[in-house]
Amino acid sequence: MRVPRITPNLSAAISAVVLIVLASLWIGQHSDWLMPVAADREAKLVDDLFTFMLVIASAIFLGVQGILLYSAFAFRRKPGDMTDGPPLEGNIKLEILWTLIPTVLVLYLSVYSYSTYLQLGAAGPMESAHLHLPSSAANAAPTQVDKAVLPLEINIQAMQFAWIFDYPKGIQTGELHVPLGKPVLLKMKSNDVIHGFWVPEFRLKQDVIPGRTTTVRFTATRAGQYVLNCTQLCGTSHGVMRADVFVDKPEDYQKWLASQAALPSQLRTAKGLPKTTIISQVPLHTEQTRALVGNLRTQEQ
Amino acid sequence: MVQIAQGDHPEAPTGWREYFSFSVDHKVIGIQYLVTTFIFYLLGGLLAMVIRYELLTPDATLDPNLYNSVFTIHATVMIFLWLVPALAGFGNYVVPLMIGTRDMAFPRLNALSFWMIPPGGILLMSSFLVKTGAAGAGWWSYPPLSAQLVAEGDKMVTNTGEVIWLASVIFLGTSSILAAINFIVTILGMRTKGMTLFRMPLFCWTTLTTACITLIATPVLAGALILLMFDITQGTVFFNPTGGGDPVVYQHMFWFYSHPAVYIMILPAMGIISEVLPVFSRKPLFGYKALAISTIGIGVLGFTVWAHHMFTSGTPDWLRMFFMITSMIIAVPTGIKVFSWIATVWGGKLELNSAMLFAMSFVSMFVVGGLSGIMLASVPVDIHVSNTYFVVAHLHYVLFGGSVFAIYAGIYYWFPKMTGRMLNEFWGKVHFYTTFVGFNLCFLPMHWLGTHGMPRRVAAYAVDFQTLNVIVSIGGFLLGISTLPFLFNVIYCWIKGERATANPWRALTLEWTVSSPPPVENFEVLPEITEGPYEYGKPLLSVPQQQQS
Repeated sequence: MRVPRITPNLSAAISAVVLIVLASLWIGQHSDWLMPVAADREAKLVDDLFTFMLVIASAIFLGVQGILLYSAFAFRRKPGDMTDGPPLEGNIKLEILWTLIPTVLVLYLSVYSYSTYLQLGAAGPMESAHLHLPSSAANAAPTQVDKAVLPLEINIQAMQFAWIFDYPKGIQTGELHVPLGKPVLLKMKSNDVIHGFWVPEFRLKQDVIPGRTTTVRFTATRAGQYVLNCTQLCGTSHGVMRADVFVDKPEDYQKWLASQAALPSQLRTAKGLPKTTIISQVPLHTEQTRALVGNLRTQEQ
Repeated sequence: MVQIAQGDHPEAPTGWREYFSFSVDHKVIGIQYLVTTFIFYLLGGLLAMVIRYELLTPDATLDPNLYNSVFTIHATVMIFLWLVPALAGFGNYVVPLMIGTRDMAFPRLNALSFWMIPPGGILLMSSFLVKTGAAGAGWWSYPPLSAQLVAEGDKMVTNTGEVIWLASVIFLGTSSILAAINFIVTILGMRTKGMTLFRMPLFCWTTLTTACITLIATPVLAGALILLMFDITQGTVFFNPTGGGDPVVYQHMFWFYSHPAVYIMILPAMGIISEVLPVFSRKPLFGYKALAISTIGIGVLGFTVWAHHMFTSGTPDWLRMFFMITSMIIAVPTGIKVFSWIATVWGGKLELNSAMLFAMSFVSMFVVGGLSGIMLASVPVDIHVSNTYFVVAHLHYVLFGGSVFAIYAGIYYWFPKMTGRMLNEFWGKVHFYTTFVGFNLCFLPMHWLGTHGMPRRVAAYAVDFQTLNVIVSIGGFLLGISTLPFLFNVIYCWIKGERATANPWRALTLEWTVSSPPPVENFEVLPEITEGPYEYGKPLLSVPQQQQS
């Protein structure tokens, strides 16, 4: 077998590739600061996928920028040199290589993303049940979580510009509380326009669309207070359509639920209205919004 | 097919007056396009400054409805009155010269498609003056929000601003359909002798592909907008769920146009880059055929990925998976382009003037946008970052770091041809460095803001995000300032700049074989082509180009 001779150029190229790979792996190791804390089981899955893509992206980024920068310095035309560069029109082998490698890479990323999505699907944003479609996700990956514990169902109403949470036994609140470690299924409806449910620490987002029910499933794994943001432009006060989200230890959750049951309903829901909402500008489209705004106005007087 | 400007209108105005007339000369129309769209670019940029002013503080400063209008019109102007028509402007000026013909196939249609733009744009901007304010439902204009009544005093009234927005976008869309027909007929039917498809400069390939995309996609947008217009003004319920309509259908129709529209805005930009890099590297374009074919590939695949904008919209699982895979695959032809450009530069004799600096940073910045694009194609990651500042960062890396940088490269490259004057290199470089720094300062931190919880299209945000938002705003203002040296340079040099020879860059494509600026009708004798457009470094057999000044 002929051993290729190691020329200085070849060794420089190999060193550059090794350096880029090491640097990309290092970036992958230190990517925590690129995501907020993970507060549910699903976040870990998304973060692993994100980190993997980040490593590959870093390698491509460093490679391309490195070559461009190197070229800008090494291949600069000397003053007065009017000759052309080498007439290289292409290189079939090289071109096949840089078609095949990205193809394999993106197909692998698709498969990886798909498998992550299946795991999310068992406890993540899913709608197939609602749409009565055969769910490949649920069939392929019925996890123990699904079978063992029935998820806690919470109904959510989104409206311009508030979130209302409906718990069992008619308890209606303006904050979302979920128990730690228990699967939760959110069933979301909109009373007016399209809104978007997003808690960054949960890594889950789902539009809330009038005329249908959309769902989000997750299992919270970290107690604490988070913020639910509306992510679909919904009008005047879209930017302040937020709600507090609490992941409570199971005993705290029960205590909270009991305390809510004791409160008069206006007080509970009014908490959900953003404090900066300019009441006069809230368009009174629906009965619910009208009632809600009415409550708040009464309180202010 | 060709009608000739002067012959058509014996009394046609000449000199600067010609640029304010219904001229049918493709070169006049090209410059009309570029100057008009640049004015809209500056207006859109001012709106961006307002956005960055609002976001200096975590609380809403401006009237929230006005803020919603500002970012809605910012996006609409940048897309429909800057990127799409500016690139069509280059196409108008350069394509007939590049393929060796005397004008576009339908000169009057060409003039008409330009003259639809100023009224369309003025109509759009005027909507700030109506009582309901300009459209504020984002440039996607998703119903039911866009179809809602708005408050005017105590009454709830039809949203006049939204109706004007719809009318103006339909109008501008019509203009680009007309231009597309013209490009397709010109490129397919009017190439000079010997100019086979695979001897066309790459910019012609990208313009041809773009025109095909425009022709297929834009009517679908027009359809969606017309139905929405009925919903708003006639009370129909096409997209209204309370009457049995479905707002998600609108999203499908909208993105069926608006994702391919991304390629309408980036493919001609890639074409410009493919012209500039070989000239200033003094090397042939690496993998010319692969670049041409990957252009078509992107054009075709571009029609199969639209629903990746709707991964959180309530699309079923199988649909999400299908669109994830197609969106991932589109990275392959895009990658081919990037690698070919790098290989073109590698080992060349680079002249790092303003055009080349913008062209090389196009590659550099576009790669960043491409990589975040692959992340967005992956459903699980997209579910987290869609509709956040991560997406805002991504789209600006593609459309500003990509398309706008390419337009600047194109202006520095073709300005001598268009005006017969050279631009000043010193001010060109000042422009480049301020743009490059301002751009990255403005858009790089947005990735972090997005992953950490800042949704897009908000006037208020969490206090923790203020420091980064201030940095972003400083970058934004620097970008605004960076246009000043450019404007000064262009205006001064257009009047007093150093005279340009016919071929100051020693380039090999046909537009450089005629005088600067080219004569009316371009060529006295139509040239005959025997080689490809990028034969740098080779002894030339025949010399259809060079030296007549």
